[in-house]
Amino acid sequence: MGLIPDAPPPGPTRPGFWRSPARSTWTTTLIGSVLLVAIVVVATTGFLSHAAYQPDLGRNALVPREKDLQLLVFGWPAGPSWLYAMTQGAHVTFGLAMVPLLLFKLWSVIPRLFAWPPPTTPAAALSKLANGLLVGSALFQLGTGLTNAQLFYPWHFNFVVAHYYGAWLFVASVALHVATQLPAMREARRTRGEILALGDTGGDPLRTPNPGPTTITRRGVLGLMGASTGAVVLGSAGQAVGGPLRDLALFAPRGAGSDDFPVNKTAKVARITQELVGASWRLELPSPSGGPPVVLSRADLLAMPQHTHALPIACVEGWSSMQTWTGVRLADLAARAGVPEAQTVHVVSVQPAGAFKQTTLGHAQIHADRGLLALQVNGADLSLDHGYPARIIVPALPGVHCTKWVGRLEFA
Amino acid sequence: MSAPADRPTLRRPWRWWGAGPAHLIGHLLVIAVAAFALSVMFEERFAPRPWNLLLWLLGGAVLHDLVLLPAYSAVNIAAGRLLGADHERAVPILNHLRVPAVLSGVLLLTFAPRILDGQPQNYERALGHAPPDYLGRWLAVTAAFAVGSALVYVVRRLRADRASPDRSAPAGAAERSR
Repeated sequence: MGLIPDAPPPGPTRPGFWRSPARSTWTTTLIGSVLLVAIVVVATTGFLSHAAYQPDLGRNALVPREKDLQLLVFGWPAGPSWLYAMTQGAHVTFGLAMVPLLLFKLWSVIPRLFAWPPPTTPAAALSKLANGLLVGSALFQLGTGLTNAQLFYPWHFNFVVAHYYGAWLFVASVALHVATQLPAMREARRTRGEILALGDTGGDPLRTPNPGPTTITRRGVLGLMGASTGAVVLGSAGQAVGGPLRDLALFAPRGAGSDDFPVNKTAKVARITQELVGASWRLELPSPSGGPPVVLSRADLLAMPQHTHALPIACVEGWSSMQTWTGVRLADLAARAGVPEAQTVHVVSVQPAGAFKQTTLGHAQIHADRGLLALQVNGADLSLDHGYPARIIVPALPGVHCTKWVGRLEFA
Repeated sequence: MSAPADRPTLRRPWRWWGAGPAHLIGHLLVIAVAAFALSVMFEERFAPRPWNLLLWLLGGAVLHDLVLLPAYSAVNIAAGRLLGADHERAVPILNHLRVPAVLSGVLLLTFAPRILDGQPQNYERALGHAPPDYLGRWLAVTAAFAVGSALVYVVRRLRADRASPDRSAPAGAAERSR
């Protein structure tokens, strides 16, 4: 190894450069274990959200279907009604909570980034590369996720595709990392009660041989991590949980100061005009056999049996809101269209603009007892921003698939 | 970050490589997944400006490891120097600065998109009304953390003084022996 000197150059590569006595493999193991729990929750709920969009139906897929890595794209159920509100609320809340957890984790292992000597074998170089992938993908997922959930889009790529494939990158790196670190984590648990003199590393690569004054204990570091994670959760969870907690969510877009029945897109942005939704509005139910379509006015719909249910509207951005909706059951509309056993319905909005002006729902949604084409909410007609004259509301369905300003339902 | 297994314990054909076959297989699997995932992310229809995506993929790690962490470490060291032999005080001051700074810094980093609001039109387009003053909220929360920390310091300081009223020098022995 003539090219690389045995002694590290001055600076962060020197073992004594990093001086916090709070660093140790035990500290890192504890932080890492907490972080791992958050990662499992965020990854699971993220992949569930992918399934909830039902990419196997119609034009729902947002990533190329033939390149979708997800084996578990099952028919998304229409219940329990809080399912998507819970999974996606957890995804965003735990995702935000990962920011402090990851910061503390990286702080605890920073000396290893500069470890001397640099990789001397191909395997060690491969490990370094894998760690780069791990940290890079972690920060990429957090960075893209937290900006998107806060309505900030400072990039020039497709967020859904990047965040979805970024998740595969991240999950694969985490799995490898946990597998390679398991022996070190077991060893660290064994050393928990071990007391070493300051400056004695006991062979632990994360303990400093040159400790500075003990200004904070390991427990203090962990407590600070817990407190900052708690602050982030308190600052955002209310938009998912609702109730009085919403007023504590000072930093969430649908938290304190926001209406407790917010929208994801206004009628103005969707370019909804009076002509589109005024008296001339009709709901069209094309006949799958090629006959003339069934055409219903709003009065016709109101004359059909009305059903009222309390259902949450739950957004991919992590907020949700429980409201009481009244309207016609989708199953009744399928029967009216002459397709009582409909397997799918292609929902088309009259809105001229927007990525979600159409969607396809499956058998579970059409035949759900509480699957509605809503005409009213909380006893009054829908407001324009909430989808007047008619919108979809189905238990456990992602908000963007609860199409607003519906103009056509193609049952098949 | 684990060092691959010690070389002498490896069988001969793996010794120059530096780790056993499981290490290689695991890494090859991850590289295969990564290569596939990256190839889709970088398709032109999804990333019309590949440099922008590359910047995002590498930027976080570079900014954290070479800017954020060195910056907060430097602030920490500077604060330590300014306070002198802080750990010998009856009630050390450093953590009364650290805790509010970390809490408010973490909030700023996590909620920067709302607090700094680089694209205010997005909020109004989505919700139909102007955003609340998130920066003001953050400043208020930051002030609350600072005041709270100062109050706790004052209380601890009063208690420490009461515990040893006749101490001639503010030695921290009584406090630290607890």
